[in-house]
Amino acid sequence: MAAPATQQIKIRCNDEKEFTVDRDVLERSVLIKNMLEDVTEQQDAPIPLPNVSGPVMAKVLEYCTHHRGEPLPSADTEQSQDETRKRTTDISEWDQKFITVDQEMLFEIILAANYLDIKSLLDVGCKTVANMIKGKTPEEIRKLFNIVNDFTPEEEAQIKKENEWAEDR
Amino acid sequence: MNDVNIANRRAQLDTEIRDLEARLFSLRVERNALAPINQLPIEIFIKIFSLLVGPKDKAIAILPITWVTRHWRQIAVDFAELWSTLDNSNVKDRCIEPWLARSKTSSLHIKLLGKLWLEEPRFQTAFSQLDRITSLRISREYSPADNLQHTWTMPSFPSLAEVFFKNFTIPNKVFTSTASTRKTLLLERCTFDFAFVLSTYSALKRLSIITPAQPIRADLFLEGLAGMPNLKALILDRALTEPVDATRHVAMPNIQLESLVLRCMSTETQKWLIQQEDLICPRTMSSCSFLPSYQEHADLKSLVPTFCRVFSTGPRVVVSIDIVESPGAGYKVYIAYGLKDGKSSPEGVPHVLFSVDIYLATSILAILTYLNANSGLEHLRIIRIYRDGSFPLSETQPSLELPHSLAEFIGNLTNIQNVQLRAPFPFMKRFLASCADARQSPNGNFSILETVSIIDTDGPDPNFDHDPNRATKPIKTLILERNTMNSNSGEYDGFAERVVIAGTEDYLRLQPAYPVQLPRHPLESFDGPN
Repeated sequence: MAAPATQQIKIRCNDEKEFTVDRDVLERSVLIKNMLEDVTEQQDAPIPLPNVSGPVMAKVLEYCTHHRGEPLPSADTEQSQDETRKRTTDISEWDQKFITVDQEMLFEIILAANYLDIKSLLDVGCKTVANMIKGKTPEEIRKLFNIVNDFTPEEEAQIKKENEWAEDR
Repeated sequence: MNDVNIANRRAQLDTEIRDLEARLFSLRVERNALAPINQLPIEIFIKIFSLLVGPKDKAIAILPITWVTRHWRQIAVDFAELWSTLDNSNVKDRCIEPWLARSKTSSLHIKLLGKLWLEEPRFQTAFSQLDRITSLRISREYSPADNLQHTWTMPSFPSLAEVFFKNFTIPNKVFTSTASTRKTLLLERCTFDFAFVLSTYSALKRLSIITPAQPIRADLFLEGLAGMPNLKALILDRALTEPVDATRHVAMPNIQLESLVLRCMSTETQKWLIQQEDLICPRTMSSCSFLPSYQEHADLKSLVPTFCRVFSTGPRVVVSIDIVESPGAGYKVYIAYGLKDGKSSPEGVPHVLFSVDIYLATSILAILTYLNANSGLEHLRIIRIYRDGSFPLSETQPSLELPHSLAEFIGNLTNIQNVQLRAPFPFMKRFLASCADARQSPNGNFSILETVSIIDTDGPDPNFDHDPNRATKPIKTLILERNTMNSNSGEYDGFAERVVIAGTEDYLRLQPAYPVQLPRHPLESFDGPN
């Protein structure tokens, strides 16, 4: 018996850009998976995704296609607690290459992963930002993300005190 | 200008400066609000910040984040869990109190290593909020001089869930109070009253006892397990001695272990333990590791049928049988390691699929042969093959020549899906070439091969002679990991649909002599503070 053809789903982004994607690829997104499960009859109208633009969705789909078929992270509480305790910032080779994008796109991908509920992609994004921050001084961090020191003189004085916390006796 | 006018002008200028400063401040805040990173919601900032203090980072690594901008500082300072770890980096007089204040009411994790004098006032401050401490990891530097006589005048901890002590004489009161909260207890080189521990730790899920000052009699230990009905993971390393009566059979308590590690016990003890087959719970167990004593591994073959019989009924099992030899000139570690997924055949008969790492050739080939005859191998990992193509064996035995035995053996394993190789390239070259050839035939060997991993080798194969234009069926994934030179993945085009290169730079930096990567046991990640 021939294998059943993969169902194709249409989605529409906030810039009207449309994608037609295999259902199993789209189901990496828990948000879309739940939407599809709620729909009993086949619909031809595209699923609207008002919080994601076409270029960002193209990147998200690249990620989902690469990771299609992999088990989705379970919601097991004990496991997630362990994960929190083990916090690691390791990223696989492919994911690292995938996420090597400009900062604006990086944050857009993170926001999209958060909205679409793609935990593994959100993890990759957050780990990437954490790795960018790790080991840098506050000034280096500001420079990296194009932000400025906005502390009041009183706050600066307090921070100066806190600097001593990190110093060895 | 008279004095009054000067004072007025000065006051006027001060006001203008303050206004300008306030304006400057609000402009900076407004500018920062436009930065792409600051478009992220607070919960994502928290996730990112949490990643900055991983298990290997000092707790104090979070501080610079609070000095970047007001917005970042507010998020970080308000998130109590970022401040919930106290370790050697922040247990200092000057920062321990504000640290505790920022942690608000969250659970506290205390990790202390090194030369510790826990009676010092700073530690008393750290331990002042006993009811919030859920994890306590204290590892004293071992000093033969005090011979574990150091005692600790410490009150009990009512909320402790995870306890790790190393090099301590532990008073009973540490184990008392609401012991029902204790889930994990790891004791290494400690002196403690084991009978007391057994009687108070009814809720315990993970127990690890490594080199206790006084080993426990194996039969008494097993009887004591009845007091821990929820125990799921157990590590015993040099922890037990043989029963007085070796023929004594202990009625096993109703526990259902998910993982078990038994290491380095006397031959008599290990023989006795293996006879208590109920200790191994095939219905629930996902991993079991057995490491005979330093001198004894001759009994391994006789243990194999026991292990295989027990594990062939379980749902998913990792079997690890480790052998350590000390032929006088240092230790050698050999590992056998198996992974099994239980699947039901159409007839409903449990069909067992194994994966096996090969290390000590003779013993492991016996295991492989047994498993292949009785179930079916699906994954194969060859941990180490010498440059001349032989297996490492004990010094008194001749090495097995390749490809004579192993290659022949592998060639008969038609149902292998995954292969992981840790071997010199000449062997791999032969292996990959034979895979490529065999896969051309639909029923040939390696026809269902999906993944090949090449790990810890001395470089890519400069003469890899796979012709990408030749019509072969590519495997799904080729993984090149921790090899000493950067591989040009293009060399393998056509052999695999995708090539993953990982860990090479780290490996280069570390330059290990010839690393043996021990398989990680699930419990070992809890085995001590990082």
